[in-house]
Amino acid sequence: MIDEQLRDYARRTSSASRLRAEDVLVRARRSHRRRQVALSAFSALVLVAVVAVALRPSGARPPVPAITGAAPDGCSVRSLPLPAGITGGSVIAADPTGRYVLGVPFPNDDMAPAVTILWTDGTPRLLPTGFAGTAVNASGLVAGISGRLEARRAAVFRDGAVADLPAPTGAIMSEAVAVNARGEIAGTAYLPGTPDFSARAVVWPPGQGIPKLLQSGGKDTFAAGVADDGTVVGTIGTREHPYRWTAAGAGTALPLPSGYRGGEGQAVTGDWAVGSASTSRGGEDGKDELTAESVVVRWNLRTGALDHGMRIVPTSVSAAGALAGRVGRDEPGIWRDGTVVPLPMLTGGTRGAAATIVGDGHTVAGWSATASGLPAPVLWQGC
Amino acid sequence: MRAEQEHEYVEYVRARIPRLHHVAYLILGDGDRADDAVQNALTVLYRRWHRIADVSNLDAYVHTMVVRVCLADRRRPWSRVLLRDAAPDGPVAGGEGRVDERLLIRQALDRLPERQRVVVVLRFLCDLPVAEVAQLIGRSEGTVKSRTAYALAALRRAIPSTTWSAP
Repeated sequence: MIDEQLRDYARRTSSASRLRAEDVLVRARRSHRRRQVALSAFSALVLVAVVAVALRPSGARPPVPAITGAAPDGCSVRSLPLPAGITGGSVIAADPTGRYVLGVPFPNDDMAPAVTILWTDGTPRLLPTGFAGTAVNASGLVAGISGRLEARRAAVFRDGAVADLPAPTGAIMSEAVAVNARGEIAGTAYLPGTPDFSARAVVWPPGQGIPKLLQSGGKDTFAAGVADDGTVVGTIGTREHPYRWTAAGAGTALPLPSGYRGGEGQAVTGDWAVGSASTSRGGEDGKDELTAESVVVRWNLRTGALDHGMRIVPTSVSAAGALAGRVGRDEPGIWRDGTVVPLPMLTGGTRGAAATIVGDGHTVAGWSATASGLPAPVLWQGC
Repeated sequence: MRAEQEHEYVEYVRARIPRLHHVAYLILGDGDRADDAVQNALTVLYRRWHRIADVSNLDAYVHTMVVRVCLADRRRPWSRVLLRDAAPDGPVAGGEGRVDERLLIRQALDRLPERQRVVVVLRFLCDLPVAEVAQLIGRSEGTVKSRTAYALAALRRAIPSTTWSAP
């Protein structure tokens, strides 16, 4: 029945590879040589996906929707320097002052232990191999994940060393995803459950003591961001509802636009949270998600006001409520006061995305393709 | 690597690219990402080529390598930034039966929770036995079976029954 139909789908689905055996050899050879030369443990596959990016035919993409604004005068882009031996990269996060920026090399070989780049005042360094940074605060405290896949643990990089965060009792995996000004870290812990495990949003207090579990009636809970006042924004269930917890741990569902029944909370800064709403209720069984429609939602946590439908895929929200992310098909942009503002790309680059918008609302970090097709980590200023 | 070994490698790779790409495409749903995954796996294969004679079933070995790279690719933070799906600004399907059935199935698969989607893709699209899927995702066979059951139930509900009539 349905399993047969899936097999039939697999047989009838075709996609032509653009790889040529000779090119595969050249890239493999080059990567092999690099690996032999390189002393550090970063990805041996740095060059691997480059050609695939460079060769992507621009005609294969649908037309880019109109962008309504223009970048302000004085808005500039510059690439962040990469550590020796790394030729491409992207930004993951930055602190609210823009002093500390976290990134990853490109391509990031997931068969190898994680590699994270930390820029301090524009100077890059590699963090200890095996630690994947996810967020950084203005004191330079980096939250992240040690280990991979089923063996991952929430961890921090502080004072030059990586340390695991204490796991909640019984947790089999954990991850840290956000850190605020006072050093509280939000993340998710996975506990044994039915049928496999249950997820619980958690907050580690400053100093990384025993974490507090954020509950919602026994459902799975996931943290996405933590504001400076300790408010955590995240999701309950599998995309079932965007949610917030106060610093005291009291939880409430974030409102959805009329006609929408599910969604996710994705980031929070100050009074503002951003996420998505879907006409599907979400849920583990994925019921009704097939024909669902989803929109971007921004909440003002202080006033309870909500707006939605912004034409950007946001990754971050500023203290003034501006959104940074990807606009059109694959271009960096910010959404501010109802207008999408495109961000300039590096010379020759045609793709990119903003990863994070810092405190002043006019400094943004992300990536831009370069003329060679490689993504470069970049900082936009005055935008 | 010696020239004749490189020649063997190229000939081996040439013959397998379409099949490996197919597997990667089924898991990732994107041709470019599939090519990246195949290249990554074949790069590792290159490094190990000189001692590959020790491998009893080379095709199965390389197949597993590609699947592992794909599973890792799905989880990396990079994919959030670079490869996220199109802006969530519209429904994926009309209700008028004009939607390509394959698109419908792809979207239904994409909307399954990750842990369920992976087992369905590996079990039915890549046609791997339960034991092998369990090993690949580091879970028990019982877990693979229960996730499969949940996922198939969700797919049955999510896809209109008319879609399932014989082509």
